[in-house]
Amino acid sequence: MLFAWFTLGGLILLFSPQAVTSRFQFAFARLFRWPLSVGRQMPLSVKTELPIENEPGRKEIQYQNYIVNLEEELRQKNNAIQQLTGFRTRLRGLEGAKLVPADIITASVEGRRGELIINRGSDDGLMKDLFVLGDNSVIGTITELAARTAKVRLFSDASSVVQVNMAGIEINMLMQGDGGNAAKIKMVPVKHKIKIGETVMVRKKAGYLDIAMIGGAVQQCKRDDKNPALWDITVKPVCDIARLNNVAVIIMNPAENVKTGSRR
Amino acid sequence: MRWPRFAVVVLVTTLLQASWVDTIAVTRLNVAPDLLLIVMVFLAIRCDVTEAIISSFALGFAADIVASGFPMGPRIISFGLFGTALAYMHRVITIRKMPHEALAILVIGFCAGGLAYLLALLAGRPVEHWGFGVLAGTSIYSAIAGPFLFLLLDWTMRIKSRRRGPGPPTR
Repeated sequence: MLFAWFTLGGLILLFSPQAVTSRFQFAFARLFRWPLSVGRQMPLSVKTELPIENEPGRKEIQYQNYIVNLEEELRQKNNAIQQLTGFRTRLRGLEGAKLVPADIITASVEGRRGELIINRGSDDGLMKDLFVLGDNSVIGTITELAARTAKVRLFSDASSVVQVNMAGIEINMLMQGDGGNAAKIKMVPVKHKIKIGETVMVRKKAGYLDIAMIGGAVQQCKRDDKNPALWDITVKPVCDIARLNNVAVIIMNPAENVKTGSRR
Repeated sequence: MRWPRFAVVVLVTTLLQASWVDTIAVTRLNVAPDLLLIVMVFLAIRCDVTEAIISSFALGFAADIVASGFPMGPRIISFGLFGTALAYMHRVITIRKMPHEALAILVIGFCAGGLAYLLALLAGRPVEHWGFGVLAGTSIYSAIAGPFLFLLLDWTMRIKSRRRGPGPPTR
């Protein structure tokens, strides 16, 4: 009898709407925020025993990413002027956007899941598929929402697919997470020259990102094992996501009646 | 069963599973042991059937909470079902030695993982991060680590004397 009741409870949960059941996961993350963050820091303490010299600091990474974003913005503006499309574009890509700062409650970066749970949700004007910034680089998108929490799927997550481009390569590229701490770009013909360290820009997406922004850098580029005519490109994030404590969610066209959140 | 102690063990295991376990992941697939599965098998072969049923469903609920990419529900059912089955099976088959415990974890890991995947499909929810390689890796890793964690759990839960099997009952 006990078994039947518990099974019934499980079936009810199984067929309940995900918006309802995900509240359990969000509640757990909020309730045990501190011990979860302690567990998150444990691997870092091992990994940072020997700091690598000449490795850029976090501020420097932020400035570098900011500069890359500005350069990309400038390049796009030049293109727009040259092509005389007549479209009215913003002088600054994020000028009209609202950046909602959020603290990270829990993070899964090292394993096959690549996701963050942040302390902002639909009450703060967040929606699904909004882009999330970490140290001035795009790191993922919002996938699930509760009133005051949201789940961010990182680009390294195996289920993440995002359109990207690289300077000088005029083809659409898809970047898919590899389930580790990186992402892969495939289907790029070997006729295109790819340099290690080349910045990978997340393509603009109407309503979500009005300007391409940096999303990673090429870490490795080799011929695809299955099809040697194509590159197998590995992209690493340009910020240390495991060390991030806060992120910013980009709302390109914010509604005026959003309850909270501040503009940077 | 000492339920307050059980609650603490479940809570600590859940927190470790949610935050720390990925740091000991191995291979390109980032295979990590399933600590909740190990505890579930431990309790199923150490406790009474009623206690095993309650603890299996409770651990399944915890597994659903920390299982990112899985909808809520499949693991409650799969943990509950196979935990209960193992508890009944333990009445006729003794699981005492470490290789037997490892084999039990391996089999239950495969069965519970497979059933959870099928239930998620049945509910029409896409299951992310799932594949046979991950399932096999998780089950094998859990089976290797499990018997050693059983020693720790024996000490923590203080239910070693409740082992059943051939011979006179110890209770």
